[in-house]
Amino acid sequence: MRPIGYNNPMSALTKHTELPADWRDFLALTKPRVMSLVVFTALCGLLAAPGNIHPVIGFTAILCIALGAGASGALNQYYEADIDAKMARTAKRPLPDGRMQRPAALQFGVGLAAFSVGIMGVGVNWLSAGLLAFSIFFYAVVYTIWLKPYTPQNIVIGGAAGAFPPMIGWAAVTGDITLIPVLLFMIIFLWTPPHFWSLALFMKADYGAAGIPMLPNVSGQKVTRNQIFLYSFPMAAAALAPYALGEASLYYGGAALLLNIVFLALAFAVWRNPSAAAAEMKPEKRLFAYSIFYLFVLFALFAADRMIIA
Amino acid sequence: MKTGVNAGLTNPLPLEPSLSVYSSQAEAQQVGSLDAAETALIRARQDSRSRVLGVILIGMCVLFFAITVVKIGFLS
Repeated sequence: MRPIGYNNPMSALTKHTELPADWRDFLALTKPRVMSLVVFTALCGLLAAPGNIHPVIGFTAILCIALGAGASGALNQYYEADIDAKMARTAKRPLPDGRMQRPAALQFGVGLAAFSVGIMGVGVNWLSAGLLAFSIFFYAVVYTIWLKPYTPQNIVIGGAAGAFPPMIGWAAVTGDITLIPVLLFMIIFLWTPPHFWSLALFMKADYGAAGIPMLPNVSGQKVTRNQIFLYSFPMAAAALAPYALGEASLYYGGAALLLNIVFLALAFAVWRNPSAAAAEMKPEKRLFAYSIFYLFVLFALFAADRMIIA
Repeated sequence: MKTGVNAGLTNPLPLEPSLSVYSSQAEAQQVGSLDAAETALIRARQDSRSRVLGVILIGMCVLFFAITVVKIGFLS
């Protein structure tokens, strides 16, 4: 196993002393960019739910979801430190770069997970705490340890972990789970494969170097492009379902339709792109960037629509 | 600035070899010889972590107090 910290200039400076990790390294361990999407979708779930929640309890719920997402990220980075060291995209993370010792990341992740679930249970309700605990377990164990290193379907099944936050936000307000949070879950669940596979297409070499069996590396680029295009249809249907089932207004339905048309057009461009070189994968890069915008706008629209209806 | 038993000494007091945890005198000298830049770096890290932890703890105290007030309000 490659020693952690082999390429850290600080290690050379303090050859005989472990340099304590900086607080910014702990922050980086929580994957703040991923956390921002998690917090946003959870907030939308919370705002879309019927009923009132006290602002302090609502803030606590969102904080706990953010901390839970941070715990998942820390545990993921603890387990994947060796893999991260082999990928250019992740080699500068605190563990592979040697800015932090591995046990510190494990302690931080476990502590943050226990803290977030505990406070969610005591301060909000135990259903949302249970869902939060399950989503952390799903990401850190089911996805990171069981799925990611062994199957090209890793992000299909593992996508469930990222789909829980709006459901947790909803449960924080209502204390139960109904059709709408399940629909929100399905939107993210079906959005994940086109989003990640478009990234995997133009980062194929990186994933290959790390030995991660992403779909482009295992089944080839053509199969991946087919799958991206195919998954875009049920995703679009799930995005339109709240309107079709009478849970959202025509404004949401119209906006979701527009967003879906653009998504499908970009997925079609990916499907038609024959290029195998990362430099010629503009359609894939466009789809990846648009998919993030798509999810943000769709959830913001849904939350706003539900609040106006309420 | 040196403090404690080493204050005023140009070299640290030598360890009794039989009590040393290091396998050789050379290793003991290397471990003990943090220069000023290394010490300052470690101190700066520790200080910034302490400050951030302090802010987080104060924030948590405020949050727990607010949750308690809200919960008591709901119960009554």
